[in-house]
Amino acid sequence: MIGSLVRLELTILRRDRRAWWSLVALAVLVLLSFAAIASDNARTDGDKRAVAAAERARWVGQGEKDPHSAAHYSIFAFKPSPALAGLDPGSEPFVGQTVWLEAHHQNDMLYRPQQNASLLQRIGFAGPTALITGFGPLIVFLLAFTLVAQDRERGTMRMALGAAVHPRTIVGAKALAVWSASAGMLVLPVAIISLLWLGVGGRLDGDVLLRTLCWIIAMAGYLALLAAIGIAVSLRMGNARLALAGLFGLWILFALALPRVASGMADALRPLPSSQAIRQQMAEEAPAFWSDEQNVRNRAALLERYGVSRVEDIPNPRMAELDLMERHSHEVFDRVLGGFYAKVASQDRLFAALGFLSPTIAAQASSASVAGSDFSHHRHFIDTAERYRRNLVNAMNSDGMAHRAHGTERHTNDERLWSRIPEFAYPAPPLGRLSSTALPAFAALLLWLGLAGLVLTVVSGRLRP
Amino acid sequence: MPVLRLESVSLAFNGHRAVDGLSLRLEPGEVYALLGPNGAGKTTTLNMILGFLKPDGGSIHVDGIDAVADPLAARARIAYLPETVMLHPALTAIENLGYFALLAGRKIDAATARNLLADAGLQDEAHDRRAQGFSKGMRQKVGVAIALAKEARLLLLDEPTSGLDASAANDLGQVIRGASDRGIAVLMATHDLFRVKDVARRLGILHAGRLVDERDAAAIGPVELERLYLERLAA
Amino acid sequence: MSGPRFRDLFAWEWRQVGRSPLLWAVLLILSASFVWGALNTAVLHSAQTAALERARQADAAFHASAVERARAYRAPVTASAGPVAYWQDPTNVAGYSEYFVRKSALKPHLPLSPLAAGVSDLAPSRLEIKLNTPFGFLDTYDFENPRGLALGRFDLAFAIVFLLPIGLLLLFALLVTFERDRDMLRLVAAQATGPRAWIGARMAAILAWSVPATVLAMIAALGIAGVPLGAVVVSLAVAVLVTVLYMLFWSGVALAVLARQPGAGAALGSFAAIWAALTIGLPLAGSAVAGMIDPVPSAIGYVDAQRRISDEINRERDAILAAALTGRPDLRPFADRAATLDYATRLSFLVPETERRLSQLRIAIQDHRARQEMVAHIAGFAIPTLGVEAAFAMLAGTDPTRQRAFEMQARDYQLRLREIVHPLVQREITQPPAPPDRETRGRLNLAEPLTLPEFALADRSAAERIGQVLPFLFWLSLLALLCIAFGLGRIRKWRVVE
Repeated sequence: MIGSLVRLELTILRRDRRAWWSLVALAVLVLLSFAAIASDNARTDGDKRAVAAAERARWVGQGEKDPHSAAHYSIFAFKPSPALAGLDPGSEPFVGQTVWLEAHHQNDMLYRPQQNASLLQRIGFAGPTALITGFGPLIVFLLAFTLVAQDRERGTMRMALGAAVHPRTIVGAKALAVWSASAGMLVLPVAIISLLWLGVGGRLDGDVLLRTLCWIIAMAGYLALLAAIGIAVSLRMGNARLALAGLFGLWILFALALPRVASGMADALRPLPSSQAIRQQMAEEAPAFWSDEQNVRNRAALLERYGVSRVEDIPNPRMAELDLMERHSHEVFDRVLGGFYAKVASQDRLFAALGFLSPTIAAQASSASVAGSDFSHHRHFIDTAERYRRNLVNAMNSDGMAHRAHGTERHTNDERLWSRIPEFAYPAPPLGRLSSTALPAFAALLLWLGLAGLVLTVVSGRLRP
Repeated sequence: MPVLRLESVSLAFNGHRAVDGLSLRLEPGEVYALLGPNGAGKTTTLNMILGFLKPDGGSIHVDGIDAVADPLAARARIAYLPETVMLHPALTAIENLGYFALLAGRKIDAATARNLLADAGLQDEAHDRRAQGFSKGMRQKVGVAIALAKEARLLLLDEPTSGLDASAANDLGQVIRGASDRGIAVLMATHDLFRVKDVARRLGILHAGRLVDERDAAAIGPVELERLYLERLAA
Repeated sequence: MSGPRFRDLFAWEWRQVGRSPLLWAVLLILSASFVWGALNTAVLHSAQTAALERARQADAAFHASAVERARAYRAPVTASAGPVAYWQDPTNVAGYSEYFVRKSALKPHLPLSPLAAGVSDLAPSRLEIKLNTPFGFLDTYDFENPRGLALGRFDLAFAIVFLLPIGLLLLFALLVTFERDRDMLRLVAAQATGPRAWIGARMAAILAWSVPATVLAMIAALGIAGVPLGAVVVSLAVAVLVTVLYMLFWSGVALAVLARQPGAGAALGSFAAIWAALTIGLPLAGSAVAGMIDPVPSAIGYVDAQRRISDEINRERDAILAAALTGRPDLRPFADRAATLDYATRLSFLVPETERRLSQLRIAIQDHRARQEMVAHIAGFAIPTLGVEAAFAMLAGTDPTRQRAFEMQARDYQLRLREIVHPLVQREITQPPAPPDRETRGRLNLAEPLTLPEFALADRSAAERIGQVLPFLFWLSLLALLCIAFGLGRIRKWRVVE
């Protein structure tokens, strides 16, 4: 029977022009946004693949030279867009897309897609998740208002409750109708199109399927809890006007104000040091060009390491010193940058925990994690690229140190060495490996869902004809 | 000069003639009951007099003013009491009266407001109470006070006794008679045959938008009125 | 008998609206959001200002250290302290030019900056200028949590542009539709007041409370955020005027909807749709169309071009250097030294050549950016939400135009430094080569590190910034007037008959 009731409620929704067309308009925006982002990502990924291949060819074909010069020449590594970035671009527009993996430096990732965006481009950028989490509440509440508050105002709810059906069945049918309409229009189509798109692009695998499924569950769960809240508020408020004002207020609070407030709170409670301070610290502790006075200290350390008393007894003192400073810089980068990124993760964890204040925050943080577009995933790329850089530079330095060269002598090598360095490839981490920062958000989403369901059950249980 | 004059007024909605060639004339102090079942065109007629609807044909004059051409000026001469009077729940009876009087272009002081509310039959202790908990009868009385405050030439009542208990309906009858005594013409749209017979001077039966009969209230008994009413509707 | 005077009606409505708890709740929440927004931006900007100061100090310390070392390296070579490598030697003009010229170009915040974060969270306010970085500086940035950037900053501009209209519309929707929803409208309509005067008086009363409260809250928020109000009176007055006109614009929109005398549900539904269209729908569509018509040049392609051209330059290095020396009358006699020039001296010729070869792509990127900013500027007239954000950013000094001017001036600054330093470096080509064994630790062809000019941003005056906002201000006034006139025009009769 509940199936028939849900169908009936859906018919009512479809016939309410205002509610239905608002839902349709948002669904169209979601699809347009996906199309724009996914096609842009596909174009950029194509560019990245082509230039990465050119980089590899340049690396291998750089000719005969001193391995340290080769380490400076190195390559640019490009970050492929996450498979689900079309559904939730998350942090992607605001993080660099490529990094130069040169000796001595752990360079910043450069060329953020939104770096030079005009105001129109910045305000006009919203992915499907942002649209669903930001405007979904408004639409879902409007649907709930249409099915419940107006029904109460007209007296038809009273008539229905007066019939033999249990109030919970009526309320349940309304909640299911709101949820199925919103999830069916806002989540499913874009998820299916995303899967088709990824399939055509050859990116569909088990992990992508699992991530898409989790994204659908997160978004559908979010809409379900909103439907429950919308219906409970519409049932409990004294009249339709109060219900509408309350729902409007909840939308503003949940979706507009609290996410930005929470982000500001995370920044304020766990402030990041400025990039200037970080760069200055790294330049001071691990300078790419060190002083003559540092040279003297380095020489002493090398003599001790090699157990000799003269520099001439070290096979290749220049490369040995470069290696010494390079390995020292790794420790500095890990400590300074690692600490910095840990603070970013800590901010993200706090933001995810603030999902207990607003389900929108919980949904946003969960979605970005599931889509692989949060900072944890970006950090994974940074670390992977940095590992590759260190291996490359170490291999170059090792080759130099293995060959005797003093004074102005230079050991050189060629394609035989360059081609021994494996091509840079970035395997995206499987779902779950980098979810720790978003765990509070998943928990909050679940809690909200349970809470909303409980409230709806209690409210519907108290309904009397 | 008649207070209200309707000449061959007609109005159709989607091809259905809601009011069809209706002519009426109310002199000062006259109480006229427009009888008819639901959908007969009673409320539509009131809406046209108030300027809420524009007739397709005919003319409406209120106190000599063309109500079609200048509905605002006409409304200034009309007091209107809807079937259910709803008031601002957060305002007291006096404040509500002050508000509606203001909308009518009048500023009244508290003493005048109290007198008007008392004339309308609202007990003194309710004057300073918020309208939130008022019964329908009490709200109706405030509505009457609003009408009185306007010092209108014409009082329009839409189903005035609907939902009122016997006592409240009796109070309303007193008020209508009082208005009539002050020279105010009263037009009531109702299907309550018996209650209005006590207060109306003339009765008109409206059926499918046409005035099918018109009688002096004094010249017809209640049983005869009911028979006549049913006959006219069956015709 | 005539209808009420508008003044009387307004006075009554003003008193009644002032008693509404909803009004005060909305105004209180808005005021709190203004304070939070202004403080939030002020905190960001004060952190950035501290970073600028640290950069200034770091530059000074770096210079002082170079001076100190330059003095130390005048010492004669000894067994334990040999000659210093050229890249460590500030007395070697070539080494100095590449490794010791490091200056910061700084963009300080203007006093009214807490008004709008603008591009200040995305674009760098500090650029490291070295002589040989192509086109002035690296495409670097100050790290802000990208999650926060994606979400958008809760600044005062956000509170005014996005939240203020919602608050205002909520007040209009709930306070003007009360009689409709309570079945009182027929009784109201039956009095001697026209719908235009009635709705107008109610809305005017709401505005009469909301406008002063908003203006006060805005000024208080900026004061709390540390803005020296006395120093920014005119700019602040313009910002206030923009806000008031923006409120009037939304009032006009509300009037157009309320003219049909809907219930609260229908009114709020329409308001939400219009609000969403203006804040996200139109910008999203506009941005997508602009991106389709004029796609952004690929940054990845630019990286590729940089690498390709760098390889080309390396391959053609000696030929380029020989041509450069031959092309200069003062250096022509020394053209045979082209192949033996040190790295830093080579760069003084090769970097300009790299820039020349990359310039077409660079110009394409800059032109695209300028075009997109122009599109955004024009779109601001069509989408008032965007226009107000842009106007606030302009008054706050966090607008993209100021950023671009800063970047262009930073590039000019680099060229000025090159004009000072490169001739000294290149003059060394004409000097006899240094002896293989020198007596002093430093090369000493530069007595002391140069005292180079500091970067100073040539900013537009407050009057000029205001001048930039005026066209939009006039447009917004016109738009507000048009909306109000349109709304009033739509109120023709009472809609009390179903």
